[in-house]
Amino acid sequence: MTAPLDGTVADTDHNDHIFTVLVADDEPDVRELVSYRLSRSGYTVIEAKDGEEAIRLATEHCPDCAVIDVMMPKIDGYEVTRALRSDERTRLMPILLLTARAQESDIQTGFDAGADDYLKKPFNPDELVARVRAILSRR
Amino acid sequence: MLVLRRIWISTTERTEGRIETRIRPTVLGFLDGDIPGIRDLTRRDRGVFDRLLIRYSNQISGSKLDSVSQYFSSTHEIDREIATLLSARRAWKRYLAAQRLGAINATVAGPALIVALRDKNFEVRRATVRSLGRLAVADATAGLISALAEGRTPDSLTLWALLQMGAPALETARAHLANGDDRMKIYAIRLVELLGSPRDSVAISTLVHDLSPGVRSAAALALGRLGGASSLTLLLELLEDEEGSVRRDACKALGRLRDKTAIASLLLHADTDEFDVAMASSEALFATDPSILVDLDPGAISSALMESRDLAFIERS
Repeated sequence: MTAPLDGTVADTDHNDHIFTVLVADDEPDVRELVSYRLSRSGYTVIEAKDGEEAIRLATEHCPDCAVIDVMMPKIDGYEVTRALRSDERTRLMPILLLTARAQESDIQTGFDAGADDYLKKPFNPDELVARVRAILSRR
Repeated sequence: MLVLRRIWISTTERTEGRIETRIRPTVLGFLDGDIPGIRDLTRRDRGVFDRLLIRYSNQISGSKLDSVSQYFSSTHEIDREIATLLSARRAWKRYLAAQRLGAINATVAGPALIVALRDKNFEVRRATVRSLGRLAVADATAGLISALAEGRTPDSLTLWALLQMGAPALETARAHLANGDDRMKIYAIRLVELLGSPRDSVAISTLVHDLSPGVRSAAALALGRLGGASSLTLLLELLEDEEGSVRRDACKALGRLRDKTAIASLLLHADTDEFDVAMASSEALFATDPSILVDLDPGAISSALMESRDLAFIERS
């Protein structure tokens, strides 16, 4: 098991299984930033470039958590969330939505779709890790 | 000539793409605080490093941006961008400078960005507003409200920028409630509505009798959101205003208050021939108490009320 390089304690479950996080965003810069920060914090990261790939990778690999951008082409983050919630393999997976849309109605839509948490863009990388850690600890 | 230029451009893009792939971990490490300083980069590498750092900075917020602004300050990039913003002849250069100053967390650029709110190019002003909002430059609140009132900047973006400033924007807005310019007053009321508390309804209340219908409308909407002891009474008064737009907005505000005391008045106004007022009234009734709509006789009510009645049935089922 590799210790996180940012000085924190690796986030694992009781059996020392290292958590895997799916990161889905059509913007490469955001994917790189999120993946880098999560990797440095000791998580294994799987990346998806769009909603279709996110659903496919989620059902194939069953990650422990997903960080999903809302505004993606073809299938947006809300649709991805609904799809994961309706699949037996992924319906309990914690989902954090990442988005620039932060009106009350958008937040409500995200939670109605089944998301567990919501983070506005531009995002604070440390806050992102803290939220991922928090929703994984509630599993 | 064009072919040669095209070849040169694509070669450059490929080379810089390779450099970017190589430099990316360094940029991410720097942003994350793992790499305290950047040395031994060629001039070309540093150009790619800077561009990548700005791109990444645009996506994040928080304390990690401090190292970004320190870095660009040390390379005098901030000074160069400020000079470009204030004096470049080409609008696209001023636009990029305005954008970058926000992305690299250049809080020292606040004064220059405030000046740029009067740039002759709309896109430059828009980028300036975005950066001022991102940097939450408190000193810019008066300039932003003025830009709003004069129509120099987009409404929604400027309001967003002001909301980022929070308390300083609220203080400035409160001060402008007594402004002689109606447009300034209207935007000040909107800001107080968004940022203020029920205590602000006292100051807003004094504006419900303003000579300008726009000010009275804005005051009505603000009272609906802020609440306050006398809001209901004043809004019921405004239902009798001579201007239809004011009566409409008073109905909307009563829908926000959801006080059942207003139901009788709303029912009366839902039956008027004025479509906007009737619709606003019906929607306010639905928001206040959908159950009273269900009991209405469908043969004896206006189309606006009928629509809200149908919604109430759907809600109930």
